[in-house]
Amino acid sequence: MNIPVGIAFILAFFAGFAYFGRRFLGDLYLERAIILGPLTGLIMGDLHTGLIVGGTLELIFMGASDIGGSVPANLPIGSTIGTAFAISAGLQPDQALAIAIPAAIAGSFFELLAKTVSTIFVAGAEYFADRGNSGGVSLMVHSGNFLHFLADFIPTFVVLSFGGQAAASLANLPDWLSSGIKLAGNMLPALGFGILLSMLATPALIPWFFIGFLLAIFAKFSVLAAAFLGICAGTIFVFQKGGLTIVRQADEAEKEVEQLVPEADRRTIFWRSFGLQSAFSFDRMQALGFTWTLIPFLKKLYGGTEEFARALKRHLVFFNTHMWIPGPIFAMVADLEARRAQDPSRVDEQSVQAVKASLMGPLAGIGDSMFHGTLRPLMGGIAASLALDGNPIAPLLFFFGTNIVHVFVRWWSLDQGFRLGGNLFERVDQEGLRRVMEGAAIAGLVGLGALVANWFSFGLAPTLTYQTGNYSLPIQNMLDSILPGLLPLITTLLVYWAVRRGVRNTYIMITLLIIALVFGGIIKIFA
Amino acid sequence: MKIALVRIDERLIHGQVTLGWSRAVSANLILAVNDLVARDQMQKKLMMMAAPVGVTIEIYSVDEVVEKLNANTWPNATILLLLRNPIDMVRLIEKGVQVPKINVGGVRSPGATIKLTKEVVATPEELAAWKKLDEMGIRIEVQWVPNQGLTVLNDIVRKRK
Repeated sequence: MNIPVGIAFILAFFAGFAYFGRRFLGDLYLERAIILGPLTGLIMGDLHTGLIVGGTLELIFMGASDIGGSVPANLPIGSTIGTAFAISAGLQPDQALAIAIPAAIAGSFFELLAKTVSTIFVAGAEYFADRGNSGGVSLMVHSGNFLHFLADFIPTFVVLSFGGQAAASLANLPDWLSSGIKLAGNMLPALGFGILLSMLATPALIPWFFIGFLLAIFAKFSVLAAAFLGICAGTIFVFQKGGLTIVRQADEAEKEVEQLVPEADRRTIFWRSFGLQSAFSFDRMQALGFTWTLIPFLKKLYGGTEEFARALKRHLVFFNTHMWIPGPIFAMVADLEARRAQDPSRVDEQSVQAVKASLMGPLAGIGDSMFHGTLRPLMGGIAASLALDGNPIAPLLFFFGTNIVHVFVRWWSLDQGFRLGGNLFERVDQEGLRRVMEGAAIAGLVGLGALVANWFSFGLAPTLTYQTGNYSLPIQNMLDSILPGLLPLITTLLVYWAVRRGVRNTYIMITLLIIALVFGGIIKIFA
Repeated sequence: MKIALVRIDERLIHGQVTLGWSRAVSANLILAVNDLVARDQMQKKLMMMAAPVGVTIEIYSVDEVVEKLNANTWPNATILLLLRNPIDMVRLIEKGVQVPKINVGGVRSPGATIKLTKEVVATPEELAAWKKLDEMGIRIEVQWVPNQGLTVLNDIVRKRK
């Protein structure tokens, strides 16, 4: 059955909008499968299928993230197309993966294209900046974002409109193929789990992963319960080691930092900082978004003078940091610009650039570890486990669970930057920050362990039995009496091992797929 | 002492290094090497702050790091050696550090105009350094994050005049 053009348009719009959100709305994680799967289901009138497909995809792509501008699998395209066809063609959720995964992998081409083509908006912005035309710079920012929107909107719309027949043929697959695909759906999350384990685990922390796994196997902990327990364990760890101080009190009475940026301008910078990733291009990355955030403030300082053009131009240089915590950089740059406006001889252009260049890398490192590497997968895992139970709260829990933290750290880090200026980093308690990161990793590992135990289920086929005389016992039962979930655990650890050996994600995925098709479909060893 | 990865990355410490590579090669010590950063207390502190769990970050100048590596300062460490540009890398190798293979992230210093790949843009001096590294027989791989695609830089720099 084909999807009506109107529905296809709406679905494609949301796919494009979700990706646009990563550019202009501060990266609200709208493009994750756990959001778009259920949303697509809701629009198509089958929320349940949306939850199952979205939840499974979220687990498979749990470790996929765009650290430092790299291009991961395209979840907006994959999850929208997979869910929509699952519903329109009446496919099983695991058959939907046969569409969603290739679509997500092929779809990454369009993000690559958008980030490459966006170079022209950089050139355009430089042209307007030279002429002190901030309206022109803004136009380039919005055009770039529109292009990024189209990069996901067009392919989704085209495939949804014309791919209905091909998708429907998946419903009538031969038995071996459909049982192979079913097993693949159960095995592929090992990829997400393995990558995540690689990000979180150190030799000292890896027992926490096994604790989570054992709690779920023997005490039947849900992922949510295990995650709560992990958060408690992480908190105990943090306080045992010295507490939750990230920014220390001043040792002695410090000279008050003179506040040069008025409250109203701070608010403007806060709201505009959500657009940091605008018109993202490979050669300048967040340069346009950074400039766009500061435009009103720079205009106020330098409007109508030659310095305005120079200011726009000096911010259009390569810049890339974590999208949630650019605050301290914006605060310190705004402060320097305000000082330069008072007396250009006191602050030269180099010192403005130096602040940006020296802060962007470390802040990106901290943010990627804490948010992309820990918070998002933890919330994604909890939400996916609820979604697979058919609980419609799942996407909301994920959205608010991540974004309450997001908006808070965005505001807090900007505010601290304004209050303390350069003293902020003098006062950051390095040990405190480390404790918090370690505590968060503990929580993540316990949750991950429970996730492996709960949502990664395959075993030996019941036809494989141990025979002696009249007595017969399925071999899987023998394994279960040693440790239920043994095979999924081993698979996760093998993937983790391969990830640590630098094997490419695509190869790991293809290997898992072949194992599933051969040993689940053709020779029925696993089920 | 084991040098598990040698990387050139303009931004030195950031997510691709802390979350990606340090884990992928199981490093427990990241040595960030740059003469300017090593003299800047503020920048040093910032970089050390971004250390992922279980990893220490130390920052040295090229001369200091060569001296410390030769003195076998870290006998039990698995090291990720991180430099900012190919020029420093040539200096490091000429001072006797063995480098069989180089991994490259984003490298685009201010004023660089010679585009080699989408990740690497060079100044004329940097291009000369890249060529020199190629002539030393070192394989140079541009790869932002582990487990994703890579581009071999050797052929590309060899073709450039």
